[in-house]
Amino acid sequence: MRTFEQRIAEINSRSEGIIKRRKRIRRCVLGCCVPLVLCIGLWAVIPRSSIPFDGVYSAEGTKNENSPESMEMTLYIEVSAERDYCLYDAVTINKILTILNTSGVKSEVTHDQTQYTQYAGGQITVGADGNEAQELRIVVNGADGTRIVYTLMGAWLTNEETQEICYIPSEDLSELHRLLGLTETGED
Amino acid sequence: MDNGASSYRRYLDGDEAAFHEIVKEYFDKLVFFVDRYVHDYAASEDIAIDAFTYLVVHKRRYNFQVSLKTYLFMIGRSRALDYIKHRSKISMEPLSEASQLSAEEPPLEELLFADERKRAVNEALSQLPEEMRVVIHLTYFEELSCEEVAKVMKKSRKQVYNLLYRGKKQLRAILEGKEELMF
Repeated sequence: MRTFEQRIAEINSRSEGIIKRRKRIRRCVLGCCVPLVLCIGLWAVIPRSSIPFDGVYSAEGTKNENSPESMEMTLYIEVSAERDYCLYDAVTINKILTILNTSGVKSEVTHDQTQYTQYAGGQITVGADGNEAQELRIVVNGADGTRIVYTLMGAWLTNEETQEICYIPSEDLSELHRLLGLTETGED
Repeated sequence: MDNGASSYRRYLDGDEAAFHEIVKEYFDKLVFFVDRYVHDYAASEDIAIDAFTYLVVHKRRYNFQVSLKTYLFMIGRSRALDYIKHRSKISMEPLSEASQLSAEEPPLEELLFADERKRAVNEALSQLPEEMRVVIHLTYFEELSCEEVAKVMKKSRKQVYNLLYRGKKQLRAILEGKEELMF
């Protein structure tokens, strides 16, 4: 049986112990969770915006204001085909942008003109060789909010804003299809 | 008579002596009440200390809606039930020193029930089922009202009345049986 003083001392020591433990837990929570939340927040913003952009130039060696190189950073690429999806991988994005920007312009292309003639009419067109060409929509989203919309019809790439039409060589096209995660149609 | 609420208010205002008053007034009562559940004086004292520690650590949880005594008994009951629940999981090895101590000191019940009649009532009470025992204890030993007993026991007033009625009936039967044996 404890004396009154012993009881008071026991109550005080236990309460001090509990209060200390609670303070330690609170410090731990603040010390771990707050930096963790900050790190997650920063991770969500910084890594994508810090993807280095190569600054790809067009075939003519001139900078197009509406081409991706005018964007300081590209966040992601949206692809609209049979299904819609996005690409975030920086390496893939850079390779795609390289292909999109190094394609020759329409004026320099003299062959396969007929393949594009029925493009304006709809989603699917029939090329000169009679194969169906599926229309792909590629949207390049920059970190600064800029969007560049491309339409890929067979081997023909159109910048929707400038209406500049480019021809993509077969090697590049197959590489582009591979990068976009599409199976090759064999149309080129 | 606010059963400790004003003392606790003074303690919250920084008067340490008020807390000593509370401990002086309610510690033994709480130990005795908890002992009705756990039947182990050392554990009961430990639980009572825990209940008072709770008062110190969670100062703002007591809302003064019930008397402090009722609040303490509510904490004590909850801790006692927890202790009973966990006791079966922990193997209790009696310490040689502790057993020596308990042999030296008279048990709490002997101190409290020095009177033969009171001792007989207490013995009869210990034969009752737990809930009846606790209701009778709170009503007649701690002089709590029916509402307060209901709060401590987490039961309705009606249930408390029923337990009290049946408890008294059984207690009377036990005591009458003892008297017949004695005389």
